[in-house]
Amino acid sequence: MKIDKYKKSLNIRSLIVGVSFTLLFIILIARSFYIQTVDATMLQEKARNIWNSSSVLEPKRGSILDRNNERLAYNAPAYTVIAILSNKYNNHIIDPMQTANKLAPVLKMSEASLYSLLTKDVYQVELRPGGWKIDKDKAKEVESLGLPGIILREEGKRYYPNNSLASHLIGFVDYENKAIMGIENQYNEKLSGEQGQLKVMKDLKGYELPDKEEIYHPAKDGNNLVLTIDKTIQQYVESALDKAMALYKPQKMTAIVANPKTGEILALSNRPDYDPNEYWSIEDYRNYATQYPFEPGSTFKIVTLAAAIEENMFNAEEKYQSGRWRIGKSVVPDHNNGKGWGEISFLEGVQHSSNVAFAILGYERLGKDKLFDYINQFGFGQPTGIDLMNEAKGIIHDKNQVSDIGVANIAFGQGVSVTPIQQVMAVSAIANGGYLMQPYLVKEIKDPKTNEIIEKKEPKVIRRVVSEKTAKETREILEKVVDFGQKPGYIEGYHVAGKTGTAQIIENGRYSNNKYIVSYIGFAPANDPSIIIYVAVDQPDLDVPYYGSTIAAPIFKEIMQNSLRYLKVSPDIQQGTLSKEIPSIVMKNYEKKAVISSNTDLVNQGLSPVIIGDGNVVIKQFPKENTTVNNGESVYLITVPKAQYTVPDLKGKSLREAITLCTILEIPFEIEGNGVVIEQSIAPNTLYTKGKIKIKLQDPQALYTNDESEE
Amino acid sequence: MVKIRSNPDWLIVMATLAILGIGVVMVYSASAVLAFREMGDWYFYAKRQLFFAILGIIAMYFTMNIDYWVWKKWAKIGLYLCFLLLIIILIPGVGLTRGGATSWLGVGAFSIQPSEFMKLGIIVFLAKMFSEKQEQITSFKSGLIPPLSIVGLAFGFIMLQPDLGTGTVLVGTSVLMIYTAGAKMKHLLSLMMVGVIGFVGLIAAAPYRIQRILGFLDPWQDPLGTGYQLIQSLYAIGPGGLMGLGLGMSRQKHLYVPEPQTDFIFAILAEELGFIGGATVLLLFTLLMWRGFRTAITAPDLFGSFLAVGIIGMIGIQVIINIGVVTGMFPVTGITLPLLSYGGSSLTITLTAIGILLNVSRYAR
Repeated sequence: MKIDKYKKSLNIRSLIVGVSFTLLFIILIARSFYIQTVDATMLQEKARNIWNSSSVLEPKRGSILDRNNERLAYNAPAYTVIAILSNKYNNHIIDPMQTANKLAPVLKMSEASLYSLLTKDVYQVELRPGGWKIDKDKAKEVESLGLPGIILREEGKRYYPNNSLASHLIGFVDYENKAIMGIENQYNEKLSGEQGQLKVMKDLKGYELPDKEEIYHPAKDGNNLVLTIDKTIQQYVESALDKAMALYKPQKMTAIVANPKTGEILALSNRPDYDPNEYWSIEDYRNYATQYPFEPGSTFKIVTLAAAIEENMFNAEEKYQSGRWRIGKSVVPDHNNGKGWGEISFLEGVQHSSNVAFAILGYERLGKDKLFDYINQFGFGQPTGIDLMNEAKGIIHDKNQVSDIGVANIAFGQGVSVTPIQQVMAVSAIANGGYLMQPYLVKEIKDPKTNEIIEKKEPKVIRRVVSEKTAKETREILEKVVDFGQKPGYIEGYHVAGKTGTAQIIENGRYSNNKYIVSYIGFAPANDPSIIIYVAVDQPDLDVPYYGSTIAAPIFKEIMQNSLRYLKVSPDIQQGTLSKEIPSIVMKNYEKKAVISSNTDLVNQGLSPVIIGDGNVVIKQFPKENTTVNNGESVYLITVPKAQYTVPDLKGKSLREAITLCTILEIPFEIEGNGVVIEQSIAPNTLYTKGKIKIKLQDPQALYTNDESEE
Repeated sequence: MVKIRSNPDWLIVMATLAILGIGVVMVYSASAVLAFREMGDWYFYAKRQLFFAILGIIAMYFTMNIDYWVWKKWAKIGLYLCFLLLIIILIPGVGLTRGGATSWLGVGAFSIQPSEFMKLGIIVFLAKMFSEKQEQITSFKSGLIPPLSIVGLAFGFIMLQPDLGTGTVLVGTSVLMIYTAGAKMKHLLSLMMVGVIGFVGLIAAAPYRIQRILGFLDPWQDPLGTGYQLIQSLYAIGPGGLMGLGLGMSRQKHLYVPEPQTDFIFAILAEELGFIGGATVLLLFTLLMWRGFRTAITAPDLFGSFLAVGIIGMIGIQVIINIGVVTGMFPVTGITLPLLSYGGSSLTITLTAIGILLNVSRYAR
């Protein structure tokens, strides 16, 4: 049959296929056998190279916190953009021109520089600087471009959330992970922790394989440091210095806030400063507060005064002839060109900051040996021992080489060179009842995991310098200094003790006629001080004569006022002497007046002036003349015409402050959220043209916890 | 012709279930790491594979009990439906794209792969065609052109996804059926020539393809590119040795071998269970083959024979290509290992097909 014949052929062909399949299966089995026996050793060796990897485990650098555990510096993930150029790798740059074009706006780099990076003859290249350690949001943006050959490498980055706040003090870590200065450098060992090691068989994504061949030493994360710094007070200092910088345009400035009883530094700032997040723009690495000795001028008179009191050589009522005083062939003139104030008491001499009075006290009464002895006792000419590297010790000449007139000069602060921190500690000794303290910045060293305190720094007394009684008497006299004349350091409600200083700058070996460092040192409340503040302004750029009282005192006052209120130090002046608990002030007119004098006047009244624009004359003020305002309230002085209004930096401001500022500047706004401003839609300090500014606020508590969770 | 129904071929059932069992275990072992990292669930793939294995066994049980000649009636409609599905997934936005190929239809885990259905559809359709017009097969025009145009059309649609692996299996199975149907060797050889010329043309149009295709000859020439998958596969099989590293102890499944639970599952199996394990699986497949071809030869009618040849040919071709790729004998193409690799549609279709084969075996003469 036909069908049977056909079926037979079908069967034969099926059999042929079946046999061929079987043969092929046998080949497959043979092939497996070959790979798993003959090739096995070779493949095993080759594979081992991939599985085996030894890596260094990087510890996480510790955070730097302020005394209230607010983060000043911390590590968080960052991403570096890498371009793979070699076409040996599947995922590589295909079109350098287009890639450069797309990346340029995101990485804020020029297309040309990106193009030249992308056409290098290397395997891969990091797109620096714009693509180096970018944050999560930016990394997402880069990812969303979906460019072939562009990959992101995760690594750690040091963040300084408050930008330039306390920047010289905190220091920074550079891109090679080297701690350059400040606390970062001083405590580098504690912060950096210890590297760990892992040698293990790993899979492609770095996960461990189930085999047991491994060596594992975990990394030890760096410790957290809790500073003595109080971020809020530091902010007061920064904003006061910012304002002074804009008003006086000095060469340098420095300010220190300390607790005189313990030696804890509460705030410390310099100008010019820098942003440690962009540390490459730093102008001056020196921390003036500890590394810049200069002739102190009148603030040094406190030392002579205290020494004379201790030695019972000072009688406040005793009279002397002010004006000029002769030592051998030399003459000591008072600072009003030797005119003096006639025959006055020593107390009045101190109040007038009479050089003659101090020349008498230092040279004639105490004598060279005793004066030098006290200068030494108060810690001058030696480092204070603050926990910052390269502290300067200043210059106190060998007493055997100092002439008579030289001794007299030193008694009122000339011919010596001292650092701001030395002065703070010396005056602290007066404030705290006679003890020279060692200043310090790190309060506690904490375990990053358990938050346990590993090391705790206690206040350290270096020595007793003067008696309790002397200290008290000196404080009382310094309080009378404040309460005298223009009352430069006076603060409503508190007894303040303080002293101005104006020192001529030495240029080419002689005193310059018109270049000064003006300073102010003071503490409050005078009888039981909780804060001491020192401010020095180096060579303000002003056409008018200037003194410590007109330039440095308002800065001191602004910081002191805010800090006392913040620390809830109760006013120490009796209720009765105050008209009200919070005194109201009637606004004066400042329009068409000089900005500098207006600022000083407002600060003296206990108000907080906010200067808008960089003009010299007030164009508009807010609140208006005759309005009643409360002590400490902000007063806005607009110094430029409307066309030049710039967008204010609202970050960190309260809702009320932000609204007030926008209203005054006639900038329409839109508010989102509550708390403090965290974002604004128009960049600060840019010229305002038009449009609404969107302001985003967040509860500061939430802000902090958010940050924390990102760690 | 009187057809007497008896027991199915129990050796086929046992070989199938044995391979299926090994498959579910190996899918779990190979995919657990990946599943946990991507889905947060060690059993993500294993659970689905087990589900489809059970579904497949049910399907197999059904088809085992449905008289196979019933499929003759459904051959045309089935083929049209398969074509319809293949066209539907080509509509932009309808098909799901995975690994560069738009081969799926449906939502998430419950998606089907129409090209898998097409494989079975073509087998049934060709079986019907050849059993009815057996005398025409020797004619090129009336015997070869019609089936070849249908197969070519199906291949074309599958290549639009594109899915070269499934397309190859489809064409391979069809050619196998055409051969057993009695096509003249002259015709088959000239067809092969056309294929070779087309292949050369494709390479001439884009010379880089030759490198890709011949990469398997020396994978170490481009270890991170064309040679990558093969090298990783060999790094699994080789160190597995004769006895294997032990179940669950694969190193290469840790993201070195791409898709360790699908196309490269044999590499992981050979790594964990060694040559012994790999050879056992291959011998089980060989047993399945023999019993399959035996079924084809003993089938009571031509339709049954062609069904058996098609089904067993499809499975055999996939096994040969898949293991050939994994062991570096063929260029890398995406073909799953039947009954072992992870994949719902593939598994259920294979078991359904085996069910049909079993039904044919019940009427063995």
